This record gives sequence, C-alpha cells and structure tokens, in this order.
Amino acid sequence: MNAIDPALARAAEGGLLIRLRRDGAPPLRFAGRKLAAQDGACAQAGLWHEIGFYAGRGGDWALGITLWRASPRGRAAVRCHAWRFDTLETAVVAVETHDAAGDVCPGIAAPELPLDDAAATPLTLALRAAGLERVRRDVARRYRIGAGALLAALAWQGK
Amino acid sequence: MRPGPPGPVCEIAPRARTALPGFGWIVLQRDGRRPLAIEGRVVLTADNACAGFAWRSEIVIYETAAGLLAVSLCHAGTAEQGPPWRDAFLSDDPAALRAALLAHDPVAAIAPCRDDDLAGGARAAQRFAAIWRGLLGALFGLRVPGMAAA
Repeated sequence: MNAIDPALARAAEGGLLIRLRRDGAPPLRFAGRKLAAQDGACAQAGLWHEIGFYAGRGGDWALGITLWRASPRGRAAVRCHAWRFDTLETAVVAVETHDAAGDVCPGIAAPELPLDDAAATPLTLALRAAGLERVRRDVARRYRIGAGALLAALAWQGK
Repeated sequence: MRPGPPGPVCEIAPRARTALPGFGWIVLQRDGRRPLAIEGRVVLTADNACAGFAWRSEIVIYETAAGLLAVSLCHAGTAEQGPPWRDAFLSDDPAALRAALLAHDPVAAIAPCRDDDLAGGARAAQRFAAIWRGLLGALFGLRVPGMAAA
C-alpha cells in the first residue's frame, strides 16, 4: 500500500513521491511523507487493516486504508482505499469514521453467503450470516485498535 | 508527559484557568477515536498481571488540573493476539466513573471471532473476566458478585 516505486521516487525537501493503491481508480500519487502507520497483522488475524497517514508537501494530508488477508505469498489486498484531504480535521474524522466492517467481502477469508444456492436451507444461511457477522465485528474491533494507536502516534508527533 | 499543549489531533479535556505545578500534558489513547489530552497527574495505577496467564488489564486514574478524573484502560494478551486494546474517558463524578468501570465488559472488548481454540478460549475468557473483577474489587474495596473468595 505504501509502494514507493523506485523508478519514480525522488527525495525533495525531505519528501518522496507516494503512490497509494485504490480500488477502481488509478493510484493516488503525491509528494509527501508518511507520518504514521498501523499494521494490524498478527498471528491470529485472518483479515487485518493497514492504515497509513501522510502529509503532502502542499500542506494537505492523505490517508490510505487497506484490508489485507493472509495468502501463500504473505498477504493479498481485499479492499484498498486512499483519499486526500485539505485539512487535518477531515483526515482525522475519516480515520475515525471509516466503515471497517464494510470492507469485509463474503467469501474472501470470511464465510460465503450462498444466496443463489437453492439447496441452502434457512439454517445454513442463518449460520453463515452469523459467522460473517462475527468476522465483521472482529475486523472492526481490530481496526478501532489500530486507528486509536495511529491517532495517538500522530498526537505524540505534535501534529 | 509533554511540555506544551498537544496538537490539533487530540481531543483536549476542559482546562484549568491557570497552569498548576505537578500537572503535565498526558495523551491517552482511545479505541477508534482521536486521543484524549489532559493536563493531569497520575493518582493511581493498578494491574492484574498473573504469572503464566497472558491476558492482563491495567487501569490508570488521573486527576486533571481542572478537577476532573480521567481513566485509561488497557487490555493486553500475547503479541500474537494483536496490539493492546486501549480506551480512556473523563468524568467529573467519581461515582459515575466507578459505575462505568463496573459496567465495562473486558471480554467483549477483546473477544476474537476465531473460535478454533474454543475450549481454551472460553476458559481463558472466564479467567480474564475473573481477574478483572478482582482488579475492580481491589480498587474499590468491594466484593463483586460472582467472585470466589480468594
């Protein structure tokens, strides 16, 4: 998510060219530097969020949030978000209000909902839905821990 | 503690009119929110770390220069279980603060969704809840219902 393409990176006034991946859009590119990041990867997490908070050289701010899942090669992205903000306040609010549970996709490291399967019984659907809900709650819980730690790290930097 | 008022990311607690000696700026991490910054000093710290048990909680109570009380909570397990859960809140009323701590459910705060280790998980959760009640009992000097005699 914080991929700094070596061919394009240049140090200028202490900043670098940052490239943040986004779903359904070209990567967000800007000159700036990473202020704080939180990676929720741990042994017991099948899905986790990575959050990166950046200061742009033009006085603006950027946020990158990615939901990762474990994969044979280490990790694979499930959802990628990246935004730019004019003010620090809107960027902080975006961290606080991000819908972490909404990043969970049924069937990707989470229970699948067999909605099109005529043979699926209501009990099966109910159990799968309950399992999916538990995964969503856990992902949201871990996201909140990371968000709180990231914002505290920003505060410690005097931002 | 920091030498000056913290930056705009924090939510700054109501301040006293004048700076008091002994009170410094403290940034308290919160769950899913910007941290709380208080001009305060520690009143007490309590934790229930048990040898041989990974899960433990810590309560720190602060008083602020404006005469409020602040509490920071931390629940932590092993590193594999992820970073510690932290939260903090302010109160002007010690009784409300006590009620909030008594109402807090630490197992709900830390409960993971993966129950492939259900038996161990459920026992660990019970023990974690019991030592939390023990911590509250030690802090508030009361016998909490459901706690076995020590």
